[in-house]
Amino acid sequence: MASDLGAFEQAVLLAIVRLRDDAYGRAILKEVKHRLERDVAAGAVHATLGRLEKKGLVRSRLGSGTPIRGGRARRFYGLQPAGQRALNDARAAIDQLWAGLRWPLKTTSATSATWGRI
Amino acid sequence: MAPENNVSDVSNMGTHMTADLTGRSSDSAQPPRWAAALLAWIFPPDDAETVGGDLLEEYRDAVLPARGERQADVWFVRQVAGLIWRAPVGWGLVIAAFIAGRFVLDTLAPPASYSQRSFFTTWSSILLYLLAGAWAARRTGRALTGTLVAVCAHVVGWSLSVVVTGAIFVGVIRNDPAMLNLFRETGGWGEQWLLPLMLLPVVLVLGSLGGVAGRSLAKRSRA
Repeated sequence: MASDLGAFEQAVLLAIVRLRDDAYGRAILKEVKHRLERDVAAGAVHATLGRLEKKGLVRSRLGSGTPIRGGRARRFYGLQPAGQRALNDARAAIDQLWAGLRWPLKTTSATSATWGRI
Repeated sequence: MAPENNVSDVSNMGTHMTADLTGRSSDSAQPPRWAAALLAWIFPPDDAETVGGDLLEEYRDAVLPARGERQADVWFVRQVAGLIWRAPVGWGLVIAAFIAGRFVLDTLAPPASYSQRSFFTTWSSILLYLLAGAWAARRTGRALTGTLVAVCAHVVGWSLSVVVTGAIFVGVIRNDPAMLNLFRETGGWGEQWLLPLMLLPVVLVLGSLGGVAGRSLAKRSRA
């Protein structure tokens, strides 16, 4: 089954899976930045979380604040069954596409002969 | 809300001296207040608190120690801009479609009389800004949100329409003398690029009126 999840949505969902009970906005942002090894805008993460919640893939609840955030409440996210299915489908789709191929890809002699050295 | 840490409460002399030398410690550091306030004006109260808290935590815990005060403030403002632009962008796209669509129709399908078309587009635009203001204010319960979103949407729409109309001019109109003549007769670049800017005060009023309506709707739904 083809996955409807974009790459960034998968990154956010997998961050929620990894963080478990500690999956709140800033922690998710930090985890996504770490996994993608690049800077990520807070707006992108929050917009994605809102979209995932609307799709029913995650749900959220308000939790306590901490001194470093001026006592402001945190919004914690949890994976819903539909979100778990979506992630599994996404992984299955990637595995299907890569079936029979070894990662990482290497230039074969046939490829070099046809297209020349890259 | 828990009280924030205050540098003067730090009992350790060394830490206190360090805080004095650097100006502020991470735990009490404050990003630009006006940027933080914008979140409250654009987001519903719960979201404004949680999103604001996330940004503050990242600012204090990671960005300020790594980049220093000035760069951290720039980072914070950019993050707030990245969050709030999404609110008006949907309305901005509709407005851009209106402005650019009117331009395309006037150029490629000019009517015998522009009065009917002007009547339709003018009143549609008025309704659009009122709706944008009402929609935004209903989310936050603040009338000023309606003003901000309507104005931002207008700026976004105007910016996008500049790109679209510019591309159409370069690709189609410039090489056709009849179309070029019609373009000049219907107001040229003044009509397309300057008029929307001059309408900003009108948009501000319409957005505010919509904001007042949206705030009333928000109060009724919470009552």
